[in-house]
Amino acid sequence: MGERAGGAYERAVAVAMARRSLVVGPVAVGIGAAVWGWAGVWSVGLAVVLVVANFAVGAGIIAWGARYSPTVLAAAVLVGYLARLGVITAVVLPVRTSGWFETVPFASALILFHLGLLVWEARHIVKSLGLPALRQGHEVRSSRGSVWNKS
Amino acid sequence: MLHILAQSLAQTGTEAGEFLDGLKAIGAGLGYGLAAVGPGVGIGIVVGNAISAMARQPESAGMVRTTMFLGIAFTEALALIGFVVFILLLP
Repeated sequence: MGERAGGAYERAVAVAMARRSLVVGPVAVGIGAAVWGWAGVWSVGLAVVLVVANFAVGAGIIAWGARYSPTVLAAAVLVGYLARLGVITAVVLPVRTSGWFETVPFASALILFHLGLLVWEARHIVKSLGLPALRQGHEVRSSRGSVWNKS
Repeated sequence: MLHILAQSLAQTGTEAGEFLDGLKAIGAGLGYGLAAVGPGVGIGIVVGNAISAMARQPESAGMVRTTMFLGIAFTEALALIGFVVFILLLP
C-alpha cells in the first residue's frame, strides 16, 4: 500500500471495503427481506449503511490526523471512536421503536457485516503484505496479458 | 439479589413495572459503558504501538497505518457488540 497517492492508506482500505459491501450488501438485504419482510430490508439496510459509513469516517479521521503529527493522530483516533459510537447510538435510538425497525436483523447484520468485511479485507491485506505483488492497485499480468491479481 | 428484589416489587403494583424498566435501562447503560471501555483501552494500545513503530521505521508507515486501521476496526467490533446488547436490553 506504500504507493498510494497522498498516503491515505486507510481511505484505500475503506474504499475497498465499500466496494466489497456493494457485492455483499444486497445479499444481506435480500436475506433480511426473505426472513423479516420489509422491516428486514430497512433494518439490514440501516446496519449496512452504518457499518460502511463507520469505516469511511474512521478512515477519514485517521488520514486527517496522520497529516499533522502522531499526537494529533492519537487524539483524533480516540475522539473519533467516541464520536462514532455516539453517532451510531444517536441514529439507532430514535428509530428503535419505529414499526419498520426489527432489532434481531439489525443487530445480526451490524455485527456480521462489520466482522465479515473486516476479515475479507484483512485476508487481502495479509496476502499483500507477504506478497507485495498482490497489493491493491499493483497489477500483475500473466504472459497472456490478463490481470491475475484483480481484487 | 436484584432479581429477587425486582420480583417482589413486581408483585406490589404498576409502579414496580416502571421501577423494573428503570433497572433495565440502568443495566443497559452500564453494559454499554463497560463494553466501550475495553475497546477504548485496546485502541489506545493499538495506536500507541503503531506510532512507536512509525517513529522507529518511518519508511514502513504505510504498512503500519494500514494494519493499525484494521486493528482499530477489529477492536471496535467489541464496542458494536456492546451496543447491540444495549439496544436489546433497553425496555
